[in-house]
Amino acid sequence: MRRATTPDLEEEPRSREARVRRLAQAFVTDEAMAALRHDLLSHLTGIGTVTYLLRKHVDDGELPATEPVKPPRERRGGDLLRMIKEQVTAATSKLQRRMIGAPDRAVSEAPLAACAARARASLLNAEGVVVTLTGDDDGARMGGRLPLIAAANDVEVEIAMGCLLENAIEAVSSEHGDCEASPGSSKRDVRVTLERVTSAGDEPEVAFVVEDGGAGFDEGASARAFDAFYTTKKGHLGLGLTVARRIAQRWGGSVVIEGGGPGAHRVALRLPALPPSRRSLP
Amino acid sequence: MTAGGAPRPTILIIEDDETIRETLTQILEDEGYVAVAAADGRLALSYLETCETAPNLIMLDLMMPTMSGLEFHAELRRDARYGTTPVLLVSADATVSEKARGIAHVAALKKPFDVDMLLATVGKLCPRAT
Repeated sequence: MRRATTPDLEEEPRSREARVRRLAQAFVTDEAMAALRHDLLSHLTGIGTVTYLLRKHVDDGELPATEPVKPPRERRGGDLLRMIKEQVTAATSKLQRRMIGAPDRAVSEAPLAACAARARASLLNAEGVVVTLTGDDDGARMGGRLPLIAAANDVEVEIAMGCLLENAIEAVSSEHGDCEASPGSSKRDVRVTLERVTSAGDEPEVAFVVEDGGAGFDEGASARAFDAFYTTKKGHLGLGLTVARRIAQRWGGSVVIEGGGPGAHRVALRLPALPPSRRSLP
Repeated sequence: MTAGGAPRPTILIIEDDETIRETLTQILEDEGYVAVAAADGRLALSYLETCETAPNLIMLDLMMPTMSGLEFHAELRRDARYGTTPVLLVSADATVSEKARGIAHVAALKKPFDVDMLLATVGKLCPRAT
């Protein structure tokens, strides 16, 4: 006998999006770890072949006029991070292709307010942290102003927003709550503002700006914030801003730490606004 | 040509890691093979389209940018000239042996490998003229 159920319009999308997020994070982590493992085994193979050649030359009683291979390159040390970054970039691209769809097939309309609401709902807020969301997204009903719609895939935008929000929530949560509140902010506040902005090239953009009451980025952290695996939080991977920026760049946007200097605590996800001609409004 | 006049077998190495590619080339040359190297599958396919001497063996890395080893293998087999050319998969992929199993004319070697073992495997797949 079929049991009558009341569809829960709120619960299903929330759990679906949360699942997508969890899968995305797991996928990036797995890919990054696989890349590191692959790299390590490749290096061990290189070491094996190089030492074999050197040993052979010695056994043959001859030292090569020139070194049998190029001297160990910088990548053995300094370039390792670059290689990791490349692997992470490849991993996030795979993630996007596998889970979200190829760019040419992606839906290229991302209403900022809806994406932000879903991103916020998918995160488990730390106790006592208040996330406020403001912005005049519903412009179609507000004197004909154009709504805040990015020319991007909405699920990807939501993932990028989630990365920024998660950082901010963690910055003011009790686990990392020994930071000083920035001037004019409550220590437990995370404020999100949706804005219309203009790019350096004078193109219309929409922005998702996250501001928290934490201590903000110090100078060193600002410079390295987008480096893959850079984190100031114990037990964290340090991939959030990398993933967010990668997604933004994919759609011609950016992620910027506003204010720049010490104590900066505003991070903005900026994306090209959907041209009015492509907006399908009633 | 070898000392006896027989042509030296040619081995095509497809490997994106420069150090491995260069050292393998030198090791195989030292062992009496003609070694040709390509940094990825696309370059290797371009070489195979125009080469005068078809390789007797292809050593193929599985995980490469641009085109994976398996994608290259699929393209390779579409060309009748290379339908039965032996391929030795060389990869850090822990499942490389499983991937090779059941595919005709394909063998596998896991990275990191012992060079003596590599040479023994190559010798079986691609005997040198004596």
